[in-house]
Amino acid sequence: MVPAGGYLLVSALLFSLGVMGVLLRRSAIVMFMCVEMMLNAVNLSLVAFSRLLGDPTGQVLVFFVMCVAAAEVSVGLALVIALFRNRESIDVDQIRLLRG
Amino acid sequence: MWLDTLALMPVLLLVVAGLLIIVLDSLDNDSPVLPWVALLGLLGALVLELNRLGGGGRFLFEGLLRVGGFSAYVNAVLLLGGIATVIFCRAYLPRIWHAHGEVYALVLFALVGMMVMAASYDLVLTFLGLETMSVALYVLTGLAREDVRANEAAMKYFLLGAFATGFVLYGLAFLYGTTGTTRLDLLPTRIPNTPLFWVGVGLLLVGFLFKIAAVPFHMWAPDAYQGAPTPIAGFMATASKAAAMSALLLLLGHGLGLVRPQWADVLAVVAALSMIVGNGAALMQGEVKRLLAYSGIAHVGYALVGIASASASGYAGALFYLLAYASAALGAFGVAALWEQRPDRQLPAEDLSGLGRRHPLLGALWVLFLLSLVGFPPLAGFMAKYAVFAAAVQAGKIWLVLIGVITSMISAYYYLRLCVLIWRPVEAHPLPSSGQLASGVLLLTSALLLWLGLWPSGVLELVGRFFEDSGLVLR
Repeated sequence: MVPAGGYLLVSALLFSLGVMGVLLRRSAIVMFMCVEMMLNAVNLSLVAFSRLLGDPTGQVLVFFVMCVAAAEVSVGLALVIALFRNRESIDVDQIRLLRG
Repeated sequence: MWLDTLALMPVLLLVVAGLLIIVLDSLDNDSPVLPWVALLGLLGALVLELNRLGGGGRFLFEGLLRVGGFSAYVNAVLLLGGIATVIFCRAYLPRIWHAHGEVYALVLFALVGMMVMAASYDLVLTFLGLETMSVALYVLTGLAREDVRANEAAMKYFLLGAFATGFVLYGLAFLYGTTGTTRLDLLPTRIPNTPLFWVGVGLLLVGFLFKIAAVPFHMWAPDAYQGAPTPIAGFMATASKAAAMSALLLLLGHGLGLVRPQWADVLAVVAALSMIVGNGAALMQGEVKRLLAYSGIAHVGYALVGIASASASGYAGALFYLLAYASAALGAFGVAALWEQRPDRQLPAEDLSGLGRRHPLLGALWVLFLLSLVGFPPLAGFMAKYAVFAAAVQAGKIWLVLIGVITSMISAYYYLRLCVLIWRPVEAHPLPSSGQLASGVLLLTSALLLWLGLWPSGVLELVGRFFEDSGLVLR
């Protein structure tokens, strides 16, 4: 059996990858996928903690996180589509009408 | 169990009204009845919340939620914001050809999330409330979907908001992993002094500070407010900030109340940065909504001064500040929404010229709202600033008060410029949209500002009763 620390390490790695992806990539869709990766990294550590503590709260929270992620996906993709219809591009560096 | 469900009536009322709006909207698309359904639900919920304002709080569902007292006060502020938003939307949205019925349902659902946040004593529930609010607000921000500005605003808000959600959750996971609980009432007895725990608290703080748009996590707010429909921008500036602020207060004041010295200085720095950056950037803004967004960032800083004082009087001051700021900002955004007439939904400051000569009453109200935002006596803004600054002095944070007073004086420059501008002798266009209800809301908020400024003791005593002297939210 893998010790709990292993799961937490993988989760931290995945989370950092997600954060770097959001900060470095410029395509709205890819940034969005990186956010999803962050959420799934959190799910992994929640389940690991839940096992470690022998307490179900963490696993219940994982279901809530999945629901919330699904709701966010639907809104986020709708926004990407609206943006693409008007601009023919989803590069976040090219949308900068609002500044100051 | 059933009695507990009954005690959630205000929230349930909004859920039912929201669902009813969706059903009615599918039968008769964008029917003019829909805002009335929303208003009915909101007023009913407001009456129920005001009814239990005086009594102490009561735990429901084995300590999951707590209604009455603290949450009743915050919910009343939120519902006030919701009522004003629905009324301004009704006057404003037809003009930009977006009088969609679902707007009202989304406003109600966002409010449900906010009200849950203000009552939640379990971080899982706080997280769900936060997301219910955020997802509804993402949609509302991008309402004008044919406009690239709205797309951009919603996209930025969404990407950064989802990013912040990741941080909130990771912080929550660490907190859960190190303490074994997500409940705020169990947290004080289980605080371990491990680095992982404090990393978790830090990550949670990042997420919450993002939602209240405090510096350095404020970058999304001006863009989101400028691209969003104006009444919705007012909604985001007041209600969503009040909700996230009260959740932050519950987490820090109640859950982490015993380790106050560990977080108070961090919050003091954030408050100072918010006041400096918010007011400094507002000086350079030419667009009214963008200016109000930066002013909102500064006001979050002032409210955070109260929380950073980490005392009962500081928390009470922050709560009073939320009401004072919400009334003034709702009014200012409301006047902006009524006066705005460009097809690109922008409101450059010059467009305000002549407003006061054309509509003296509206002009006078605009001046009143802005003066309250400056903190001019005898308006609510003055008493609110006094309350948080006094608490900060008691807590020994004199430097924070100095920064607050100096930035307030600087802020007078851009607020007064907007006040003077409207009395210029220029021929102005007639009011593009009006409504007796909208004017009624403006009069009501201005009356509230005067009342809170002249006779603040009632409300100050009320919010003071929510906190014991130890500063924990317990009553």
